[in-house]
Amino acid sequence: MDNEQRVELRCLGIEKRFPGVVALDGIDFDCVGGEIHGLVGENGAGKSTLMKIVSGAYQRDAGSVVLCGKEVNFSNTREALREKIITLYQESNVFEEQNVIENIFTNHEMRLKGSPLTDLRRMEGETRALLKRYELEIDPFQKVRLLSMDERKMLEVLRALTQGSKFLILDEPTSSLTAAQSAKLLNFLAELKKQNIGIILITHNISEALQVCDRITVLRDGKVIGTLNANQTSKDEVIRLMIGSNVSKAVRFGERTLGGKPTLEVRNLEVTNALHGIDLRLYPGQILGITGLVGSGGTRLANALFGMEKHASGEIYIDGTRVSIRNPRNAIERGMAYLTSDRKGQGLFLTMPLYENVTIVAIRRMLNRLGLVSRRKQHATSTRYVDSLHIKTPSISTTVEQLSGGNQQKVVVAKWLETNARIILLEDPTLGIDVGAKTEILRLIHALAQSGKGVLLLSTEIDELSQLCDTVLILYKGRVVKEFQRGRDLSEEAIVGAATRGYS
Amino acid sequence: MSGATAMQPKEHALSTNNGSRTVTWIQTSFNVIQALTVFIVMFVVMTLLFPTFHTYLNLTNLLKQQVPNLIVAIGMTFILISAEIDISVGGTMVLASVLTAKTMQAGGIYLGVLVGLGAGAGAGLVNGFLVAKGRIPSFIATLGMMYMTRSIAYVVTRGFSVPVSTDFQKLFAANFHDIPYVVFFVILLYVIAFVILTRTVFGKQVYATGINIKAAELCGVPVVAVKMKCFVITGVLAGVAGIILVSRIGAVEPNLGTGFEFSVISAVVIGGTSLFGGVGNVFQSVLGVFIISLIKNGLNLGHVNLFWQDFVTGAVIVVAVLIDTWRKRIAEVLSLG
Repeated sequence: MDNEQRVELRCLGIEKRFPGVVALDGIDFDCVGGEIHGLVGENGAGKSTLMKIVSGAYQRDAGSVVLCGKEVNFSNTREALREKIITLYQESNVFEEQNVIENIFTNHEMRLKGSPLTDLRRMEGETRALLKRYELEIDPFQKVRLLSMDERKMLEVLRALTQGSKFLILDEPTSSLTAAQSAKLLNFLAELKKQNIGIILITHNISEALQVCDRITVLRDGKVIGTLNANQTSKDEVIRLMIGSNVSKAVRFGERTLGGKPTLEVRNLEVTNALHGIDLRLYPGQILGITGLVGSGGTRLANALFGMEKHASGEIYIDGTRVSIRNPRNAIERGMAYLTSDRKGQGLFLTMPLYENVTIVAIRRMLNRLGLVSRRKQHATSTRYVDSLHIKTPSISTTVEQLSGGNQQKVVVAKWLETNARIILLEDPTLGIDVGAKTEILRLIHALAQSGKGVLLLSTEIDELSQLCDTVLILYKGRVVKEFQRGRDLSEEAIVGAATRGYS
Repeated sequence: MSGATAMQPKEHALSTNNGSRTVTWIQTSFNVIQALTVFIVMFVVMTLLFPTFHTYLNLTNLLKQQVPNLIVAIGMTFILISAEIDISVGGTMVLASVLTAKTMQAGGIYLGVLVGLGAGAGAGLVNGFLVAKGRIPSFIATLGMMYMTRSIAYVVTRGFSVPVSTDFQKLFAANFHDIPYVVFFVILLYVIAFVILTRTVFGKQVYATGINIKAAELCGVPVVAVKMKCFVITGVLAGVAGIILVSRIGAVEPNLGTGFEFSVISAVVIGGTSLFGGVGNVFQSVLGVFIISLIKNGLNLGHVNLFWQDFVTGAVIVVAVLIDTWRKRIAEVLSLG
């Protein structure tokens, strides 16, 4: 390798600040041609931010990026692309209705010499050669719609190859793949690095990282905690570095008394291609955490429970009675509430005033004797929640788009509290909320459970789960693979360990 | 820490920040102010320019002409707020008037009115079904209905004009100081529509559906039923407009009211109801209808070439939609200044 041009990407003292947060705090990181360098860390550790700076999507506030010995300043992703740094995002970026060849050569089609026309035969030959070299049994004329998820991902990698990629950044490439598909893709990557390409692999799956990477860099709170040789470390060590000893900063919540009979019980729930044999019991006063890798089925479970998605089989009981929930209205009538992670897209009516947002679900409780909506009742109700939840707003008539993330979340909470829901489904409740407001939201969730509500907390924030939950279930590919109990075996290390390993 | 203390107020989070309150007020009232200003300015300008404008005859004539537009604009306001559109209202109106006239010849006034209303409700129901249940984009679904309703109107009349009895013409002719009683009926409709939109569960659900259909669904709003109702309301109102139109003209032809749907939609949009859903109210639509009629009246009184009139209307629509699209930014700029 020494006699070739040395392919090397080096980040020195990278800093990046967002309003209220230091996302990256002096990061040193490097990747050389022919290696797979894993980048691991908890949510919000800074992995994606760092890679967005390398690929030109974000601009750094300080530090330098050195590519093959010369400093580069990308002001957008196109400039990074010109230097052959290619990023593949979590979601597959393919054109389903086009065939394999067309997908591989999108926007860099081979031309007939001295002509603007594309050279189909040469592209076909090149595609066949690539497929053969990497032993992929794919028909070049196959519509991509018919390819499996791992094949699509490999197709994207092949596209990067034909673009002459020197560095390939992969963001959670296996998150939507089955175990077998993941193995196939990882083998493919191991083969690929022999082409003197530097591969940066962002992943949550530590087992996977240990298996395929040469080096692993652990980020925590915007800092590099360590860069390890993959064959000289262990899963335990990586997890310990990821979590750190930040127990001291965590708020400890007191004990809650759990009700005797489950308020929600799910038996053998089956959603086609998503969930398999899910059993769970949620007691009044309990916070039941559910976590897993991206795509392991948490959101699908909440959707199925709330009637937004059909389940193929299985039974749902509320307070001991079997119920059939066919749409969100049924779920609300049964005393359920669902706070999705997409607060702006699914939780709020951004251009409506706060008081309309708070009272929209329980609108029938706002009627006066004539059966008309009483603005006085709406105002009184909203004012009560603004006070009790400490919602910071200029007035109850302010449109919610003007509120901060934390206060918006409180509006969503108020909306559901007014329905007297007893079962609360929460999905990543602190996503996009700054650190100060986060603790306040966690306190609020604790208080909800304490007042006798059953809380189902779907979260990817491990610290949140370990602080709040009585029980945490680990989902993997739609199955519950592990269960941790508070006071017995529930700890941050245990959750991360279980959530980040593959199961077969 | 117990749940009770956690939920108790520590401080009064509501501050009396008058600055922000003004911003909010301007943002929510911006559309009304905009439409009202345009209307008043136009009214004053036309009074100054044309001596015949401010005559009782001209004004009552304007009012009479706008009755069908005013009625259908109510339904269109509901539909636009729910983030849909209905371009079949002209066809539905004509179909209703043709069927009313035809039925009256054989079965009398009451049956005729009933058939007209039924035709409107039927067309609305089909639209609602196609859009809400069938998930066809409303522009396409109602485009289809526009052709189909007009076609039936031609088939039923074989293209000829259908007269109605002079008895029925009295319905529109009856008046109070030259203002037809029908106008008071329209005012009543507006009051009812206003109460429905702003003070009933259904009204709140219309806005919620238009602003964020996904969130509305998650909040238990029956979005399919809400959209169906909006289309049926509009269909029935188009039927009412059709019946009144027959009474006013005394005879109907199937080619009546060409372009009616677009003049109604533009009136509602000019009034400040958003094409993107969630914003608007019925009284703004009144202003919109009159703004359009003032433009036409002004061009007439000013003897502007008839062929240029549509050009002006078109330009006004484009500007109104441009303002709608840029509304938020304009409101921000205004509130800063």
